[in-house]
Amino acid sequence: MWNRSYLLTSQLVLLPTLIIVVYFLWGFTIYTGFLSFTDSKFLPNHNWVGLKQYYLLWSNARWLTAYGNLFIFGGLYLLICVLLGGLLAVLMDQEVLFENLFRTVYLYPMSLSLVVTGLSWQWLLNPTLGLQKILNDFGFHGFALDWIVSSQYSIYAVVLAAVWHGSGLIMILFLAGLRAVDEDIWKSINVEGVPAWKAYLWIILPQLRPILLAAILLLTFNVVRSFDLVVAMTSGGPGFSSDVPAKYIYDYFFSRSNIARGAAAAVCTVLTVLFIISPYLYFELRKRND
Amino acid sequence: MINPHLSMNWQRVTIYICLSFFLIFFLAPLYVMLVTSFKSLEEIRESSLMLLPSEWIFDGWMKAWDHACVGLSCNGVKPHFMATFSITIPALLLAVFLGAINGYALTQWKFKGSDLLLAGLMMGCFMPFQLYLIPIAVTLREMGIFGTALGLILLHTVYGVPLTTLLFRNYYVSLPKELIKAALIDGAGFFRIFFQVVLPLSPSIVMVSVILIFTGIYNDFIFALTFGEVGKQPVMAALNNIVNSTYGVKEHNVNMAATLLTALPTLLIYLVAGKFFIRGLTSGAIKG
Amino acid sequence: MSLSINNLNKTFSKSLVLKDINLEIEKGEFVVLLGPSGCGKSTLLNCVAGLENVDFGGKILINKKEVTHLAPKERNISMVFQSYALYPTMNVRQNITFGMKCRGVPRPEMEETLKKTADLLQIGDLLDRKPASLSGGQRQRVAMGRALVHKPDIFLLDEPMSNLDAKLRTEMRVELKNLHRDLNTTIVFVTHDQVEAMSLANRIAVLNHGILQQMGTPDEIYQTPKNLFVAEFIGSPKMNFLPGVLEVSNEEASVVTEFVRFPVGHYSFNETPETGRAVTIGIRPEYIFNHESNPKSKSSVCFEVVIRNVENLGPDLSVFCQLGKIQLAFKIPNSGNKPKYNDTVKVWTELSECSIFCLKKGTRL
Repeated sequence: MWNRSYLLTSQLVLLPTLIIVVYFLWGFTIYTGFLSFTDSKFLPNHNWVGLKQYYLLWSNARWLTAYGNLFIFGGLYLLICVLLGGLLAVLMDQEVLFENLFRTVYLYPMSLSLVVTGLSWQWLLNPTLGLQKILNDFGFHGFALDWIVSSQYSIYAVVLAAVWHGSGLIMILFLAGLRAVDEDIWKSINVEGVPAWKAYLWIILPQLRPILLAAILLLTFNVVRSFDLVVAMTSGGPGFSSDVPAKYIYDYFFSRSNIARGAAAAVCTVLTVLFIISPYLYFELRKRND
Repeated sequence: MINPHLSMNWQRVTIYICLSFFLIFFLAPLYVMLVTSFKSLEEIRESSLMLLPSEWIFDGWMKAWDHACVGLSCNGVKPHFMATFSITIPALLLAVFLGAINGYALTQWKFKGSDLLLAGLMMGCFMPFQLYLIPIAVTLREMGIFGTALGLILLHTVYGVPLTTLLFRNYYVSLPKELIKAALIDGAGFFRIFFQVVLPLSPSIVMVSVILIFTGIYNDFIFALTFGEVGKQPVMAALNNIVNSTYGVKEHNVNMAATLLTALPTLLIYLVAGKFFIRGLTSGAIKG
Repeated sequence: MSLSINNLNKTFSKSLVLKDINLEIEKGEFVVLLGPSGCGKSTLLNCVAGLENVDFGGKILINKKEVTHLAPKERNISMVFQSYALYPTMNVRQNITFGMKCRGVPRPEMEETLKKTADLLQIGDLLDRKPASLSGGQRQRVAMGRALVHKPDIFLLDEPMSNLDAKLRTEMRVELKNLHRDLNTTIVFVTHDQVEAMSLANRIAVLNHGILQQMGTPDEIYQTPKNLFVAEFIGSPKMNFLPGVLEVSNEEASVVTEFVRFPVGHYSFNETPETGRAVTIGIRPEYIFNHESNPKSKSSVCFEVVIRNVENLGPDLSVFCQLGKIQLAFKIPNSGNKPKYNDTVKVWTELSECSIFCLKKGTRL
C-alpha cells in the first residue's frame, strides 16, 4: 500500500534488524549447533566428528546432575511461583488496605539482579551466621537450615531464591487479570450466592488461562537463563550438586576449553525446553484461535 | 464511608496475616543485608542476624565503594559503576531508538517474510545467551573489540533491539492509520512522520522501554562476566568477584554494602517509576 | 480542476474491490460517492489520494495529467478524514501549518495563509489549543483548515460528518456548501448518508460491490434510478416494488400485478416493451395518496390496502400497509383522519413518475 519512497524507506530502516535476526540470532544458533558436531577445544574448529560430543555428554555424570537439576529447579520454580503468585493475587483482590505497600514489596525483587538475589540468599542461608543461627538461638537446637552446603538440597536453596525473585511478577500478572474480570460476572456470582473460594476456583481463575500461558513462558525463560543465580549463590556446589545446564555450558566453553561439548549441551538444553514448551504452546494457541 | 466489605472478621484477619507473612518473607533479605552492612565484623559473628547494629559503622560502605578488591585491583565498585554507565547509556539509547523506528516500520507494511522476522525477534527475546556465546566471542575478536566497552555496547544493542522492537510494534499497531495518511497527504516523508507525528505520541512506551532495557543491561551478568574489560567489568561481574572471592577473610559487611550499592540504581528506578516498570514487565505478557 | 478515472480496478488479497470504475469530474463540481459500507467508495477515494496502490489496471488523471502512481504530495490534493486525524501532540496552528512546513512554504506566506484560513473558518481563537480540547465541530473546522491551506486542485472528504451529531451535521452541510460556492474548487465527498448526498452534490456516484451503479444529478438518481439497487438505496421510506408482467395491447403498455393493473402508456421505455416480460414496477411513497384526495390524471390507479403501521413524523405520516403479501409504504400530510391499524383503505397512485425494472437483471427498462 501507499507510495513507493515511503515504503522503500521503511524497508531500509528494517535492514539493521534483519541483520540482527539473520546473523546474530539465526546464524549464531546454527553455528553453535554446527560446533557441537566438531572436536573444538579452546578455539572453534571445523573437524567433523559426528555425534561423538553428544555421546560423551550423556555419559558425563556432571551433565546428568545438571540436566536433572534443570527439571527439579524448573518444575519447582514454575509450580511454586504460579501457586504463590496466584494466591497473593487472590488475597490482594480482596480490597485490602495498603494494597500499594504490599504490591510494591512483593514486586521489588524483580528490579534486583539475579546476582544480588543470589548473594543475599547465600548470606541468609549461611548455616553459621544466617537463619539457622537465629532459629538455634531462639532455642530450636535441632533445627538445620543447611541446604546451601548440602549436596542433597543445594538446588532447593536456589529454588527458594528464584521463587523470592520471581513470584511477584506472577502476582502482578494474575492481579491484572483478576481486575479485568467483567464486573457483571461478580454480580451474578453474588446474586447466585456462590461462595467466594468456589467462584475463584471454578469461574474466575479458569478465565486467566491466557495469563497463565504468558506467566509460564516468562518463567521458563528465566529457568533457561538460570546461570546468574546459580553462579552467585552456590557456584554450582557443593561439588556439582547445584549445577544447571546454563552453568555447565559456560564452564565447558570458557574454563574447561571444550567448546564442542558445551555446544552439544546447549543444543540439548534448548531442544529439551522446546520439546516441553511447544506442545503446551501449540495446544493453548490453537484453543484460543478456535 | 464505611465499606461493609472491610468489616473485621476472621476471614479478613487471615488475609492480613497471610499478606503480612509474605511481606516479611520478601523484605527479610533486604533488611538483613542492610543491618549487616552497618555492623562490625565482630558483631556479625557474635550477635543475631536480625538485630539492629549496636553501633552504626560506615566502614563497610566506604570500603565497598572505593577499595574493596575485584580480582587484583582494589578500587571498590566505583570504577565499575562508571564502566557500567558508559556501556548502559549508549546501548540503551541505540536499542530504544532502533526499536522505536523498527517497530513503526513493521506496522506500515506487511510483506512475505514479516511474520518470519517477527518470529525471529521473539526468538531473540527467549533463547538462552549460552547459545550465542562462542559465535559472539569469534565475531568480537574478528572486529577487534573483544573485552572492550564497545563490544559490550554492540552486544547489548543487538540483543536489546528484539525486545524494544516488539514493544514498540505492539504499541504502534493500534495507532490510527488515518493519522499517517493525513501526514502523507500533507507531504511528510517517513522520517518526518516518525519524528514529528509518531514519536511525540509515544512517551509512555519510550519510558517503559528505557526502564526495561536499562534494568536489563545494568543487571546483566553473563555478558559482563564473559566480555567485560579486565579491571573495568560492569558492576554485576565485579560484585560477584568481590563477594565470592576465595582469598582472605570474608568481610560480610563490605560484601553486603557492595551488594546494596549495586542494587541501588534499579531499586530506585523501581520505587520512582514503578508504574512503567510494571507495565514493561507485563506488556510482553498481555499482548499474547 | 478536473478529475478523471479510467477503467480503475483494485484488489485486496486477490478479491476485486473496485471493478472497472469510470468517472469524469469537471472543474468546480461537487461529486458525492454514495454507497453502503464496504462498497469500495473509501477505497476509491484513497486511490485518488494516492494512499492506495492502483494495482490491477486503470488510470487516474488530475487536470488531464496522469497521477496514477504519484505520491500523495505530488498530486496537489488534500483530504479530510472521518476521524479528522488531527495530530494529537500539535496545537491547531501546528496542525494547520505542518503540511506547509513539509512543502517548504516560506514563513511570511505561511503566516498569511494561516491567518486567511483561520478567518474563513472562524477558528482564529483556537490556534493555540490542542485537538483534545476541541469540540467535534471545531475539530472538523481545523481538519478543513488543514486541507484548505494547500490550495488543492481537488478536495477529498471521507465521511467528514459522520462523527458529528445530527444538529451540527445540518449546520456543517450548509457551511460546506457555502465554502464550495466561494472557493469554487472540485470536491469529492464520500458518504453513506443519502440525505448528505442529495443535499450537497452536483452529481452523485452510487457504488455497490465495487461497481459504479449510476452517476447523475440528485434528481436523475432519485427520479430515474438505473437499476433496482439505486432505486432501493435512495429514498426514505424506500421505493415500493410490485412484481408483475408486461402486457402490450393497442400500443398501450401496462404492468399487471397480482391485484392491480398499472397502465404505463406514458412511460418512456429504454427497450421496446414485450408482452409477458417479468418486471417490477417501482413507485415512490410520495406518489401514493389516500382516498381523501381525488385522482384526476389519466395515469392513476386506485386500489385497496390494509394498514399495518403508522409513524408520526410531525408534518407527515409514514403509513405502512399491505397489498396482498406485498409491503407498501406511503406518505400523507398529517391532517384530518389518521388511518388506523387493520383499516382497509382505498388509495390511488400517480404513475407519471414510476420506474419499471427488469425483474431478472434489475435494470431499468
